[in-house]
Amino acid sequence: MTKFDLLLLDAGVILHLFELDLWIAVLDRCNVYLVGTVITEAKYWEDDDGNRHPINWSEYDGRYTRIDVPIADIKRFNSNFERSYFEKLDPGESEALAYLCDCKDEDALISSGDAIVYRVLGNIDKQEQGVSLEEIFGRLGMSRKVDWPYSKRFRLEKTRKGFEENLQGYGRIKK
Amino acid sequence: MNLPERLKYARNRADLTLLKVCEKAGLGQSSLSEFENSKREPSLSQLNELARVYNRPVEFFLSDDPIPREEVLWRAKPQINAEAIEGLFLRLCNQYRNLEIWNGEVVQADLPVVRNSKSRFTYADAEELAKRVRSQLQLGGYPGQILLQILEESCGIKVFHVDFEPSGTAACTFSDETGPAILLNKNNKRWRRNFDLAHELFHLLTWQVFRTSGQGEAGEPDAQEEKFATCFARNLLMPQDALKSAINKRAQSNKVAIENLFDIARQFDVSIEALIWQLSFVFNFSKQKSCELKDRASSLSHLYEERSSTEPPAYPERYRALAIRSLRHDNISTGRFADYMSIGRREARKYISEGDNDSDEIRFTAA
Repeated sequence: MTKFDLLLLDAGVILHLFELDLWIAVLDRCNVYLVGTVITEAKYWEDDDGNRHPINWSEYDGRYTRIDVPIADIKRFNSNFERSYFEKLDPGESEALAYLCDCKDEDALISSGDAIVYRVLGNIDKQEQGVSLEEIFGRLGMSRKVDWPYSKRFRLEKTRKGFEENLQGYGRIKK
Repeated sequence: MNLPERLKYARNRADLTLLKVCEKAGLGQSSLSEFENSKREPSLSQLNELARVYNRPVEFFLSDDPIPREEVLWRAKPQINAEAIEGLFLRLCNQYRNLEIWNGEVVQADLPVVRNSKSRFTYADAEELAKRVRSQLQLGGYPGQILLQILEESCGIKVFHVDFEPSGTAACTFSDETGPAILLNKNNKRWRRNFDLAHELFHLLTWQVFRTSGQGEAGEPDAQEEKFATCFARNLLMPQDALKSAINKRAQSNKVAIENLFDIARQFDVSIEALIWQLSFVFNFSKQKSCELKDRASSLSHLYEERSSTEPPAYPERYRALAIRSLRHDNISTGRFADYMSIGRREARKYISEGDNDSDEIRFTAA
């Protein structure tokens, strides 16, 4: 039985998993969903010496679920936010968040190393649908030190920031 | 313009064939044709790859806003790769403007307004404009020493240094969306870049006077406008009063040794050729005398022209500072920051750390 039924990962998390040599371990234990843009963004990972290692995605065919969100859905998702807010998102992050919001599965989770993703979740009152890499490792019984952007504290801090921004009327367009 | 029309527009601006784009973006040729003809919609990942090929943000293709005017004015448009260089230049300008907006630091340049009409513009106007700029920006007697920094930091002019051929050209653009920007060749020596900078500044200041063409057709200035720009640059970088003073300081019986001219060129941070040219105008040398002087200086360059010329940074210092601040204030994703700085994501992560208090405030009281 997998620990996560629908786990969306963004490019930063994928690359960090490769750096930690834990990509396969996570693939084996979780139902990983990747949006198409994230796959094209995660072209290579870097080792400690700065050497680049290309990622051959065909090696992992069948081990994750690929999603391509229609452009109309992404535009509709973006239209919920002030321009200065959604412009901070990468295309891959936009696509993943658009999918998360549309899929209506409250057990779906997204993991990122970028503050803006968690700020958006806080802003749209979906705080519980974010998960840090640190928390993923915890649930999988793997104890590993992660960089700050992949920590639980980072996620909580940025999610709270997004929630406060919503209270201040910033970010989401009130309709 | 809708998405298919934007795709076609972007490909035409980049001067690329369907086949070439498909090779670069990893698409089937029929796919791109179908996208452009509204027979099929691309996925966001395909659009992302096309955006990369066209040197545009994905947001350009998703937008419903009118396409902004994209005019790049070249001194001499390169025969090869001009569209790719323009695409890169405009992308950098957009990125810089984004960083300014995200940090609330859009600079409204306070530059002299030029009110002449194109048909009535004269060399005297170019000289007068140089004087006004020098005074307004407080450039002092040796403007070349600080011009770049003043234009970037105080006037908000975006200056990029890129590797391209031929080396003897430069470019500029001026739009409501990105503001004024200049493109210089990073392979040129600093004193050559200084002259190009001053030359392009003229075009920016007189944009409303000389640019009368439509969308994407700024093209090249005519020969007369180029002469005005060169006159402006000479007079901006080597003000006549400061130049006469430099000559008088070294003159004995109204004569100056040629080796001293190299010192003066270094002081003004211009090339020896540019100095001789300005001297010709200021002191009314005949054409023959100017040519002889240039030849003699040229024969001595290997002895006296040994100046160090540092390569310019890949990105303007202000651009870098804004990008780093954007990342640390959560205004930009790590991936986008990495793209903006042309570094890998792993290196980009080093700019974020827990607990740093960049926003701590320091109180200053009046002295």
